[in-house]
Amino acid sequence: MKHSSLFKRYGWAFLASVVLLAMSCASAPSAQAPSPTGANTPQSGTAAATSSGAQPSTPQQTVVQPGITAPPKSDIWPKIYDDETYLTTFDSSWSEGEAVGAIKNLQNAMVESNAGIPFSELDVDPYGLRAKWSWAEGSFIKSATLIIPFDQVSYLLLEHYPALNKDYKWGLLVGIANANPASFRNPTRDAAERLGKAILVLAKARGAKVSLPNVRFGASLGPLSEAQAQAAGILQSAGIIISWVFKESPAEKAGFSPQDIITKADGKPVQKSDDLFSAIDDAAAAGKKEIKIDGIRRSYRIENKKYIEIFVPVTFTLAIEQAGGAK
Amino acid sequence: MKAKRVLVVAALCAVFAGALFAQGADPKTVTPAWVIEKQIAEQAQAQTQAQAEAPKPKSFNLFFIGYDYPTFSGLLAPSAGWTGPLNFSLGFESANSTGSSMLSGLELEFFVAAPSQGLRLQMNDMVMIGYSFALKPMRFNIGARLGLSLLDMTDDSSASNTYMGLGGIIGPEASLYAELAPDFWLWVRGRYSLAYFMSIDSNGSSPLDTGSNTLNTVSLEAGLGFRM
Repeated sequence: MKHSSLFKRYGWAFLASVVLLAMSCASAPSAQAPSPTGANTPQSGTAAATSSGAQPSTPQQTVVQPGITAPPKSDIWPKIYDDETYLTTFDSSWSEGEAVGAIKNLQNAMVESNAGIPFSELDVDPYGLRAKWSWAEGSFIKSATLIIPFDQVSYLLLEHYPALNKDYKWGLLVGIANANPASFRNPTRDAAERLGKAILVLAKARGAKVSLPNVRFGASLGPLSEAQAQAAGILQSAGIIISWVFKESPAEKAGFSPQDIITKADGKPVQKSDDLFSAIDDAAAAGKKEIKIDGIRRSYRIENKKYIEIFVPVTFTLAIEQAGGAK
Repeated sequence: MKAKRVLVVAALCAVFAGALFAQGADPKTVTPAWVIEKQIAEQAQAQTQAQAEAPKPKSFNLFFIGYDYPTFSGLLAPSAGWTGPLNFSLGFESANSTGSSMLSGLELEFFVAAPSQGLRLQMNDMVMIGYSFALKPMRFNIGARLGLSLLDMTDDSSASNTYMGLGGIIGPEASLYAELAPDFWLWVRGRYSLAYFMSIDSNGSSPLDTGSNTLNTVSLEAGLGFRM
């Protein structure tokens, strides 16, 4: 058979493959071929592409070695905190009265976060929490107050401060609309969770719009900044970035890390956090046990005794927990 | 023919599958940049702390005391060259550096002789300028001393040999210090000095009054040094 006739017979298949490849490439964040360890590894300011094309070679774990020039500091990426935020729903079946009682019972098991001083006065009713603490400064007695109007509660976070050189290493961060968050420290996780549950009951009862983490994922997500997108070599609308990952969350178990960029979930582009949550919920509704999430991880490789910033396409496997759902 | 068709279709299917199901790397194999940055920062902090905690090399800055063995010569030596067992020196030397550097010092030197016919006392008060070579664990110092010398002679057998003279003294020296233990040195020194005296108290017929006014000293010293 002549080549011309071979093409005639299978030309449709060839054309179809070219079209498919082109579509696949077009949906990728960048067109550059990934090769984290190869000679063509993208350097700072360029990005490796996700998904399409050849399977990327497995990158080596970069190990910090002495005598290697430290990379230049970059402040465009989300800050890494020593504090740990745990994933919890603060769900309870308490009534308002039980919630008020629970807070009052915790008076001796909480301190104001920064001062670390127990509350000398605690007044709680279904509408708000008012606490006062005092301390001596020279011959003066000074005091400060903290007020949480339950209808203004915007979020609740269960915190752990392992690096804190004090007792009361657990805590609760209470976001208040149009005001600084109130922060408590507690001696145990249970005390912090009970305080959170009680505040959530009262906040919901007052109609507050409390934002809680998505329990099927469990990470704080935000839009990509222009500088981040430029550094990763993708469009600003081509992904979202993780600020922090909740402890004990599905995201943590899947290996997500702060500063990871998420570009696709279950093969669908992710431009905002709702795209990710929808994909997870859709997969859960379809009875899937897990979904693949594509992303880009910022890392380093060592070349000529220098750390070179690289962006490596990674694929996460997120286990889907059937209970709960995107909020 | 059919087999070829099957092969071509299979190859194209493989290409499609590769395009559709290609995945990124396993996240476990890619260390996040912030982890590396944290490790680098911790490493730098540990290095800074280790440097801060490391014992700093101590400079050569010591107090010394030693025994002298002088030999006198010069015009005054026949009358004033008495030697006795009580010859010693003490002072300070400072290089203010762990390496080779300039050296300065101050020294008091006493030569006391008390034979049966009288008493001889010579006190040299000298500053020293020189250079110290760091030959770890030793130091080799060379320099010159310059100062004042007081000579007090009391000769019971000769009134003319009883006088007091004040003069200038100058001379080169070389020392070797060995660090026996931290902050503790053993040293030896050789010095040649020339002193020119004038009479400040005599009966008018002393050797100083008759022009015999030089006293040269070769002194060998050894002693201990303590870091300050």
